[in-house]
Amino acid sequence: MAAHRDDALFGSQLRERILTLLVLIEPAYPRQIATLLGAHLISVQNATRALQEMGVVATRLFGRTRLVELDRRWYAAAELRTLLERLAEADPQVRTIASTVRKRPRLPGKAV
Amino acid sequence: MIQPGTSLIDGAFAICTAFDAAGFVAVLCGGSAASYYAPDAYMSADDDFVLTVGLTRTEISDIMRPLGFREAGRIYVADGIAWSADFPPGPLAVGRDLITAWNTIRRDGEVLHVVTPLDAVRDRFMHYSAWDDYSGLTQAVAVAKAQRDAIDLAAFRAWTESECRETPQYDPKRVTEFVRALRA
Repeated sequence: MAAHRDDALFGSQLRERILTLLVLIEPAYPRQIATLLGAHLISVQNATRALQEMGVVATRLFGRTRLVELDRRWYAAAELRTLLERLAEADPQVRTIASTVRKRPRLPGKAV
Repeated sequence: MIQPGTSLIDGAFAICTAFDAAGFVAVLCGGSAASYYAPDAYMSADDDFVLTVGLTRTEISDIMRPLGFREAGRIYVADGIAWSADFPPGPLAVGRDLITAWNTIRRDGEVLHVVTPLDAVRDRFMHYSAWDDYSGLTQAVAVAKAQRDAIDLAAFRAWTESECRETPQYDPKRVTEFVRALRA
């Protein structure tokens, strides 16, 4: 069971959960993250913006969708990834959420 | 003061000089550094500076405002120029390498700190490597060709090997592609 903590890395629990989710499913888009985490879209957008200003995540447009992912160019990106993988390992809830995200191809016309 | 039509590079000198006068070091990096070294091949849409010490937004604005800049979200814009200025978060680094040395150019009482040509190449190449951004490859090659004498290819290769080792997501074939484009 994931240990419940009142404190949070990166300034808020939402930021931490976004990062922990991203390490499992990146890239993801803000609305998807909000839905998966049960958070408000605006909160996710604000948290993502803050993480981007810290340099730990990057966003890029894919068509009209803005994708969010960990910034591999960041100075301590490898260490952050290791930390987040460790946190995800101890968080069955986020792993369950991540397991619902389908990334493999799907033929048009088949149920999603 | 930034005048209408001030070029990206002239603006970089003005901004860097203003920070220097205030006692801070702002180092030009990213695509704007590539533009500085290969202006005929690539012109960035913004001047990116990383500060060697962390300043608050207010402190940065206090230095930028007298130049004619105003805040527009996270960037700074001025009337009559098409480019903007940005201060991405530090540290000044390319991938896992901290940058502790850069070039300092002085002209007519102005100063510009800019990452070395090799670091400009490494930075642009990293965009290509991290995001499959082909324009990053083009810029890296343009700088490497324009600054051929200043680029140590052996050092570049050693760095890419280290990055690929530490970041498994990187594809070593990207290096081959870079070298091939450089020889073309």
